[in-house]
Amino acid sequence: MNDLPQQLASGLILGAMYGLIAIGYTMVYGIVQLINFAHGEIVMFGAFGGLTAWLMLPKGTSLMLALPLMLVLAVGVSVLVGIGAERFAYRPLRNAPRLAPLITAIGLSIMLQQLIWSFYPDAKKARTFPQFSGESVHLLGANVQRGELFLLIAAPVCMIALGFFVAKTRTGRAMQATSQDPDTAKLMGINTDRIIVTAFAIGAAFGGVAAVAYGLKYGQIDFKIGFILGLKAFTAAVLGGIGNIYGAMVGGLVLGLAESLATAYIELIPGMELFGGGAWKNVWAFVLLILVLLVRPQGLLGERIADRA
Amino acid sequence: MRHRSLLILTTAVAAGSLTLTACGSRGDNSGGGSSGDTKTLTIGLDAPLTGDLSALGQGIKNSADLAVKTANKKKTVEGVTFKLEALDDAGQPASGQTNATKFVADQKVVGAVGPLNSNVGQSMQKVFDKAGMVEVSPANTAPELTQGTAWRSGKKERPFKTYFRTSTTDAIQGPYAAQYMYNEKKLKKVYVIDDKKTYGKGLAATFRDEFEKLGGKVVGTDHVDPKEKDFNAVANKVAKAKPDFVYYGGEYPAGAPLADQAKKAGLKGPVVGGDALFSAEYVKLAKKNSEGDIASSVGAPLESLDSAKTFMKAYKAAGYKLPYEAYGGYAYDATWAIIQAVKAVAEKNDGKLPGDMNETREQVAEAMQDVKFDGVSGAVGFDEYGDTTNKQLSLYEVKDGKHTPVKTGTFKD
Amino acid sequence: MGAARHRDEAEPDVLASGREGPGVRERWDALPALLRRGVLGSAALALLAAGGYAVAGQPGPPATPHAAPSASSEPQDTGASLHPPHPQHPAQAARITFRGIELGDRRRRTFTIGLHAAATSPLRLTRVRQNYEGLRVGLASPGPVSVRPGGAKHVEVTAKITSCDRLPLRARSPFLDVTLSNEMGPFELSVIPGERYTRALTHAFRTLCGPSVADSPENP
Repeated sequence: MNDLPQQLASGLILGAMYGLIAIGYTMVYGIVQLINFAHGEIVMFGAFGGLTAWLMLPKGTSLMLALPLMLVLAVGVSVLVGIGAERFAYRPLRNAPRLAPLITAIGLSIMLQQLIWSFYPDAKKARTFPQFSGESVHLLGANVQRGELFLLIAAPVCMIALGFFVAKTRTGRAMQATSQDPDTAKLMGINTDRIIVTAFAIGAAFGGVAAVAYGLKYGQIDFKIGFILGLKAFTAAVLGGIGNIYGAMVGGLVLGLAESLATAYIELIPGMELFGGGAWKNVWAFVLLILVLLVRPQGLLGERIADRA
Repeated sequence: MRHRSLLILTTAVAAGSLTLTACGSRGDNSGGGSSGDTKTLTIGLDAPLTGDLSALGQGIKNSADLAVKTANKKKTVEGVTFKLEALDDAGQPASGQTNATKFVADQKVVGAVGPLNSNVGQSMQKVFDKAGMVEVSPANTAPELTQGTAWRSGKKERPFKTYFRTSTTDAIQGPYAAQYMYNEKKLKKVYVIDDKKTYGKGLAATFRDEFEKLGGKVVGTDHVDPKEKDFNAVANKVAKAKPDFVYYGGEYPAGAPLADQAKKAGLKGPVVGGDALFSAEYVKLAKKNSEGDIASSVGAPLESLDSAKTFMKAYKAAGYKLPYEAYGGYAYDATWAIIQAVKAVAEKNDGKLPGDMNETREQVAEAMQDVKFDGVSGAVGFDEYGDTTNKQLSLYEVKDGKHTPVKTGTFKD
Repeated sequence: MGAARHRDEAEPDVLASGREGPGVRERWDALPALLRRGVLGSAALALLAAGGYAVAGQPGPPATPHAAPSASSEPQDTGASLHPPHPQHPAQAARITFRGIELGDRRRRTFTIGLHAAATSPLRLTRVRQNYEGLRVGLASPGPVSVRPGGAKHVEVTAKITSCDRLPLRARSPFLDVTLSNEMGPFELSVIPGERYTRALTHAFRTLCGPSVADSPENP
């Protein structure tokens, strides 16, 4: 079991990335009870935005210097796409039956994928993303890659900033109010439309950060990454209690750990050899999800929202 | 207001999807042209032109296109102009089958080249067989496609009379790599990983079997989901098991990140695999961590063949944007084989093809069995199973960011 | 970009509908919807286009014209129907097949592998080896064997088992590495003779290394 620290580290890093993306699902759901299934594609757009920033810089620029610009462009593109999605795809359907926005979301995600596929140069196959060179860093008995350090720093910073924003600023409190009761919030003079846009924008911004982290971690991106990422992050959001921002991060970490540990240790349990390894990790992750939802239908940190219509 | 937004949205989506369809059908409709009294025959092509494996697929398409253009230029078959129609299967068996059905229904299509993936090939064989239409794959390597599912027990039986291939089976790729790693590289501990697909699982199984019989030790096995890119958990397990090398049965889109992550996690030693790792994309995606990795592939290295040099020159001259990749030469030969079969039919019928397309297809399929010519990949011909008679394979090692041939073998089975 | 402005301004005046005097935000909102949408849309498009242009202009694969019609005059001498010029690459010229194995001295654990070598262009067979630990393999005759087109030759290869424990008894595709050379230089080709060789080799190993009952004969 001496590789336990390593597997824990891998799981936590993966989970932090899921968590950052899950914020996007949970924010939007918390405010408008809408599952934005195109969020994975918003993240994917962010990744291509970051790559574009890198390609725009002259060859040989150090990645350290380029990183801020890549982040800015990744977040910018994500936010733009996120706001655009809200404005043109979801807002017209705000009072439509629940199914309509859901189907729109699926259509939107296909459209976004195909946009990159057809118009981004050379994106019909995977494109390489810059990575930090150099040895991995040794932390508490585990090796952490340079690119993963970024995630380890970015995820907590983003979470703290978001927590502060929601709890302390006027917009944050307006968001809470809107999430509790949009109609009353509106009567109190809150511009709910703007709050909704803000929720989309914040989710997309986190997605942009996660997208850069993804690129640095794996060194390649393609037009399909949004699908699996979105699915995993959505699972994380539900696991943590959709609507709760800390729940999203907790759900992400739990999911990442579950995948990592299931891959490594399920097969060591006598009689379970057949169900271990990388091919079964998703199965175990979903078994965990079902178990959690059986005991706590509202998710790990979710609150009961029985009185919400 | 709401209606207007909806309208704008719908228009945008419609415009978007129209652009996309336009992109999809932009294929290769060149070469057709206006024909006086000449007859135009279409050769269908099915390969993954988009998605992860598009590097290989585009190489196949371009090479087939080159063969068609060459035939038209040289008037290889008097009175017949060939046209290539390329369809995309994106590596999906279902799409492959749809494309096959489309080809069969088109009364201008005489035969088809493709596909790349063995499981896609499996889904297309039956459709072509029913229509009596010939299918020549440049890249399918699963033995059961030509020798039946019981090939391992030595009971070979050809399932479809209209299916041929210019690539060799992978029955020998796994064992050959096993012998090389054990006896020459003297690496005796392996970690075997596969992607659970027809191709990858079969390849890993034949490798493992031979490696164990030679006396090698398998220190661990695992499977991965090729749709994902995060293999860190598996990579950590590999690093912990400390194997001398890793054998991966699968394709490069997952193989490259797996190799990258395993080496970052601490694997000392190469990642070895089959022909689906033999692509420049593998090196591009795994970057420095691909150095020293080994891939087996079908045929002799094209660079070592005189016949291939002309092909490479012509390919360059034609100005295709993407390289011909691992299967370009075989795709050229597969297309050329169909052209030769059509020629044989025309000669048999005093220079005229039968008026009925179904009749033509059947005769072409029959003629294919006896087609023989010196192709890009060496002497091309087909045995009683529809397999190529030119049975060679090679091992390549990544040196300085390029796959370099290290060993070539010729076999009989 | 319009989007960024939205966010920056959003913080102070979310709840600002009671405030006096139009801010930038209000003035923006007061513009006709069509105009606002147009501005936002074109801004987004401009950004996308700028990004795309920057990328496309940057590392771009060497700008080769796509299949210029004039270029197609070149491919006319493409391989397919041409006879490859001589001499051929050794790997293409040689046809080496397995004939059989004859057991030699049981005490010294030797045997002879018979090969049949044919060629479509002249070449010399200079070396044969099989890389098993515990087995030494070499050409029986000293010096290279010359093979010419039309003149197929028998090639005798001697093998000696040096250590029985190290021999893989049931390997599925053992092969011989044959070094061939002609004007194009030496080339080592692995000859994988197939099942017949596998069986014969296994038989030789078993006989010369005494009966190993544990390994029951098995055909893969």
